[in-house]
Amino acid sequence: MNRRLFLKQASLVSVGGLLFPSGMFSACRKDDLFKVSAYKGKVIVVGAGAAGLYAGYLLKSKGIDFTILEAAAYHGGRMGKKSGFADYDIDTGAQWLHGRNSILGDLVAKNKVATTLDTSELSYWFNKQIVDTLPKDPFIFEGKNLPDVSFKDYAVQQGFGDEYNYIIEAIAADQGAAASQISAYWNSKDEENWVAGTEDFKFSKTYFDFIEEYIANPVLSNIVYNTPVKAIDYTNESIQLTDAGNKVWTADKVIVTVPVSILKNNEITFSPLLPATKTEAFSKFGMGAGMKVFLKFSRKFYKPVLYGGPVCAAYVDDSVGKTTNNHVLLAFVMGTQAANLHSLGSDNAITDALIKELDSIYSGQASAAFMASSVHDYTNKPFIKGAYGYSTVGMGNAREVAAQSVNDKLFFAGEAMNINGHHQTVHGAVESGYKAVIDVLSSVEK
Amino acid sequence: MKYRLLFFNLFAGICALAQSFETGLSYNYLYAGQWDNLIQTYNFARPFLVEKQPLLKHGAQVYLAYRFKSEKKISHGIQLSYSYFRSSAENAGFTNTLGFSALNVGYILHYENETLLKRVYAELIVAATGGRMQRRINNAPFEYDQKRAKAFGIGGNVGTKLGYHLKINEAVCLSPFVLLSYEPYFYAPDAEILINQTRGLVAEDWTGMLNAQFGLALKWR
Repeated sequence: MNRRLFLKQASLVSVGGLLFPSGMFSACRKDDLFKVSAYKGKVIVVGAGAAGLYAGYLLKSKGIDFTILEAAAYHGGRMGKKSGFADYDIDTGAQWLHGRNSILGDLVAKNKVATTLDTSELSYWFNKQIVDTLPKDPFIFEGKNLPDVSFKDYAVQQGFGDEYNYIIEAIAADQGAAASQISAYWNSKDEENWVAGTEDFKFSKTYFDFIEEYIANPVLSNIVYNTPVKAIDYTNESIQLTDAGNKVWTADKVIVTVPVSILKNNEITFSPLLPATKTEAFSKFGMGAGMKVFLKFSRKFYKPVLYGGPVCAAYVDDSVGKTTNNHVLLAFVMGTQAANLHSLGSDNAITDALIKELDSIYSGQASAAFMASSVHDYTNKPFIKGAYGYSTVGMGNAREVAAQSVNDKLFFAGEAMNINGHHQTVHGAVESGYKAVIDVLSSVEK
Repeated sequence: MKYRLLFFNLFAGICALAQSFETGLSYNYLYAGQWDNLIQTYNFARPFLVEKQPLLKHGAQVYLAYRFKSEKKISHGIQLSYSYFRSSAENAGFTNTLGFSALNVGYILHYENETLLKRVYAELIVAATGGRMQRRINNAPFEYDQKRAKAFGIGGNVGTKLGYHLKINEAVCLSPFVLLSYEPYFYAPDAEILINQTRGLVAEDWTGMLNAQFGLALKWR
């Protein structure tokens, strides 16, 4: 081959190689999920918890007309903060960022939000003694092939005696449940999809502040407070929502983000009735009582984390990760124990019961050092009525069914509607919120 | 000394058997539907990231091939290739980079017919693939639970290649080529975890990939 022929052939191949791919790439490049993101319809989001706020935040970013109807006089749902109780703001609701591998982990990283890895050591109140290790490992509720029985029954099957009852209760409390109600099988199935990581982080400020600053603030002007939705009529093209004051709101799409307890109790009526499979799915969710009680002491006499109290199965040093000179212990009470405390009827009675138990554990030091308490009983909150949704015995695919949209008009979100293993968390609620918006826009593109 | 002799004998043996050695470099264009969907969802759900994550499309491949000696128009050989694809989005305080590396070990069926096709040749390549995807944030490996985030996968690959011999001398030639391949990356369960930080929300745990390559090979006969 002579030089001229070589150069001619080489240049033809090079030009062809450059032109063909570049044309192909420009046609194929598409980093947006939807071709048409400017949906012209009106969306109403029911509920301004984490899922509702994130759905609103996303709708706003896409330029879509929306309103958030919030039943309470405040937003945040099961997130909140209280100032003035200690020398730092306490998280009255969600408190830990569970894992870094999540959408909220990205938001934290991007904004360099100050968080602290919570490495608190776990101790147990076992056989009326504080111990750091147990004769048998009680964390037996992960893995495959667990039976569809309650945590309590499964623990008995595995040979755990009565002395482990309140430790098992504490493990169930971490899922917002009573040990006698949560399913070992379905809970482990849910956990299979957990990918956020196992580390827990605490915000230097509060979880609520974080959500407020980066998600809620852009949508505050779209929230209508004190507007509990009582009825949703989706018979016609235009959906009508009636609030407790009989005001009627209209929308083309509705995203329902209320706690599953509200749906279970039929506190919103749907017309036409929701499919029977869906209402049956709602009924299969557990949503037990839940409360957080902050106890301020003059000195620290307690363990960082203690499991196993008969009144409160989990006590946690709340000051971890905070810049503080105060000593605040959090009583994290769920399920049957929360219902028992709730039935005492007053914050003082609840506090007395907890101090009495702490005195028995720490030899009277609690009452000697006690200064103040702050009780946050989620069972009392009329638009929440509990802690969070968990999988009961016989749950089946209820979570998937509950999360499905109806007639491309009604969409469901919220922590309980998270179908990818992140339920019971703020980031799980956020994921369900963005999934609902994706489903709304997908229904428009059909 | 004995290792040198061993190496020399081995090399001489391989040369005696070989019709050609080949090494090449190519530009790769990738279409992986499930991964595109994951990146699109990632972008859609994160309005706080103004600069969108590009789809994982552009990459490069290097390969080594060895073809056995044959007097026939059809010969066969083996190939080892390494591909790398990258996607990076730079936002204030948050540069997110996805990298996908794949190693292919394959079998080549080579056809050339100077009478009929002149200097053009065709190849069918069937390979097994192992791949690894990684995520970096702000140019550092993304870690959680004190472990690097990564997603392994395995698959197959079948491709057809068309090339052209440009002789430099009797022993060496350059060969521009085009290769189209389909890769059923049939087990990649962690890709969704790495890209969108979810599992089972968006995508299946496998993806089909279409790969178009444009490259240049150097061959020794």
